[in-house]
Amino acid sequence: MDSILIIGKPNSGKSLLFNKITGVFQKVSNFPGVTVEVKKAQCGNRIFADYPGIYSLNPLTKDEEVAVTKFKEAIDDESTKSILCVLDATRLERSLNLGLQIKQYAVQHNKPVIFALNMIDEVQKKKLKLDIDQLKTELHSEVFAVSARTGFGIDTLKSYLSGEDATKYEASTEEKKIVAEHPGRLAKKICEGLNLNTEIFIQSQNKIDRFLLNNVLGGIIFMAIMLIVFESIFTWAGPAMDLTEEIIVGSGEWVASFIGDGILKDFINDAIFGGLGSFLVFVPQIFVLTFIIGILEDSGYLARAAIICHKPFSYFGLTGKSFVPFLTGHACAIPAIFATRTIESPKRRLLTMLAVPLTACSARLPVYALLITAVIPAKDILGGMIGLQGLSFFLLYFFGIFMGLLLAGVLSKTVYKAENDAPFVIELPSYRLPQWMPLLRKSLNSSYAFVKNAGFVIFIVSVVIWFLGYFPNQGGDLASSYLGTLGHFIEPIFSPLGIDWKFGVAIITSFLAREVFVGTLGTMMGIEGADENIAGLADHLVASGITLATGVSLLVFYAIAMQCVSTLGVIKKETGKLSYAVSVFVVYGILAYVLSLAVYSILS
Amino acid sequence: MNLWSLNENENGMIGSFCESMDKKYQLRLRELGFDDSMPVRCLKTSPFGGPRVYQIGDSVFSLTQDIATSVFLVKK
Repeated sequence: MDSILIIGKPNSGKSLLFNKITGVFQKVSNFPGVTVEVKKAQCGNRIFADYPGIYSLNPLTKDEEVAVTKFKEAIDDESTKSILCVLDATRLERSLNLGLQIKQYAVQHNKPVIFALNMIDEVQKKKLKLDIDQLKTELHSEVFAVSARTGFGIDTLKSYLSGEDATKYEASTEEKKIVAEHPGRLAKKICEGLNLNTEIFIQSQNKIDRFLLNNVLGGIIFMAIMLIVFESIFTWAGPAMDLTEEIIVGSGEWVASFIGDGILKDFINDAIFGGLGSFLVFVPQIFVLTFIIGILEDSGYLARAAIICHKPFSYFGLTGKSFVPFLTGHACAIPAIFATRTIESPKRRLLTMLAVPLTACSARLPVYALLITAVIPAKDILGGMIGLQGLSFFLLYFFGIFMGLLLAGVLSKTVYKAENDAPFVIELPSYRLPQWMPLLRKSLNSSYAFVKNAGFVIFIVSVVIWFLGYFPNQGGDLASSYLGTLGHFIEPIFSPLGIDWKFGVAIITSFLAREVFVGTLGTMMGIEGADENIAGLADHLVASGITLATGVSLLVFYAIAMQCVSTLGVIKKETGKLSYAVSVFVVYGILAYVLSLAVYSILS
Repeated sequence: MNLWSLNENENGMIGSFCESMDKKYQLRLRELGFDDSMPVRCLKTSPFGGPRVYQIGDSVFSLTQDIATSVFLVKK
């Protein structure tokens, strides 16, 4: 089937136009190791392929390189009949710079370029005149004035694209002359000829920026917005996460009701529904986060937020855009790693991805709560202003951020020092209201991609841990299972921290999810429902003789160790390399062990 | 005089790039509009040497000090 490629610069409204042309059903293709996505959808007798927004055909970053290479390969493909280049009418000169590069490349490969002059509604609203016919003459191409937002001109464009005229092409002599021109200078000349006053758009944008980028007010607004983002991940996603959990548990019980007692029932209940359930429960969080970040991105605020916090993050080799993943990491590292997709620089994206799992995620909280309750006295300090246990929580949060930044700083100055990096040049797009349907679709796609890509690895690990805990005694006493044997085997490793094999087993099982540590320890110590009865389990730990040194060293261990198979699965998926996930597990594990041993030695 | 030396609401005109700047970055900046003789305006400076905001042509960009100091201006 004939294909039409859609291309344009970021923030040109390209994806919205693609949605308007093709409707609901899209197929998203990812390329390994980068965030490049090509969306494809059929409309009538044509397939439309939406390529990522680019500034130029001369790539700087790995993502750009992949996007440009794939685009150029697609132009050479026989099925490609034409290219639809989206121009931003409010920033015509900048858009034309890329548009002319594409035109030049397409002419050389004998493919027609059709220009969609998007956001024409904004030009009309300001009562500005834009001579479309003159633009057609200058570009030697068809130009359609459209507004993907209001739908203006879309039907005319669609009708043209589905017809024969969109595919018939023979480069004219005038077009061939364009190939020799300098795209930037030609774009400037064309815009001067059109006499379009785009200054008016910049002025309205600058008025809002005076508030949002104000040295004092800007910071306050930024903090308020980030508080909403943080709150949304915890509060808005919370009910959906609870519902997901209930559905998974209910489904497990329902399926199990058809099967007699035995291995199969236990496997389906514990390994499949239990293991995969602990990972699927994060899907609503991914959805909410993608949606919120999408609002920030589409409204134009994300670029401003990046400017506000770039300087402090740059000291640690990170970028202003690392802030959102760092904040999100306090809810869960999985959506936080997804949030790094907004970082253009591959080096800084990787550093952020490696650093955010050290922030104190919500799965660490039950572990922190148990150990703090067990070893930190419940007394007030500073004249009753703050409790010692509360202060311990705060210090653990601070420790997580500190370790994340420290690690990023060290890696950027050592291992990744030589890595080529993109300069921090951010375009400040115009402020616009987000388009809800494409945003919902994007959030659904991200959630689906999360399940599809990380699910398999997590499933395998869940099955292995279930197997070790179930056999050889068919799900009897955990102490006599392979897992129990393994706990005894690794006891010499953890005994220098003052803990016995039961803690070893709890540490192994918590590899599925950190909070499993509490439940496993409860099971090992004969306390039912330990997840809801942390104080009871803490009393039991105190009675069993846990010391301050042991408790604090375990806290340090859990603050650093990568005890989360879901996070490792997502790191592998997002970096495209298993070696990164393995390195994170091993290096963080060793670092956690060494530091907790040091803490234990000092305190005891 | 370079781009970084422009104060808030001051105008300048793009001249050349520092020789030591990677050619790929020079090309990208030119493609973004930081090209010879283009008028540029500093819209926003930040405390503690944070990124600054510049208007060039019909677009607004934020640049860090290391990049902005490598873009030289010419007198009008």
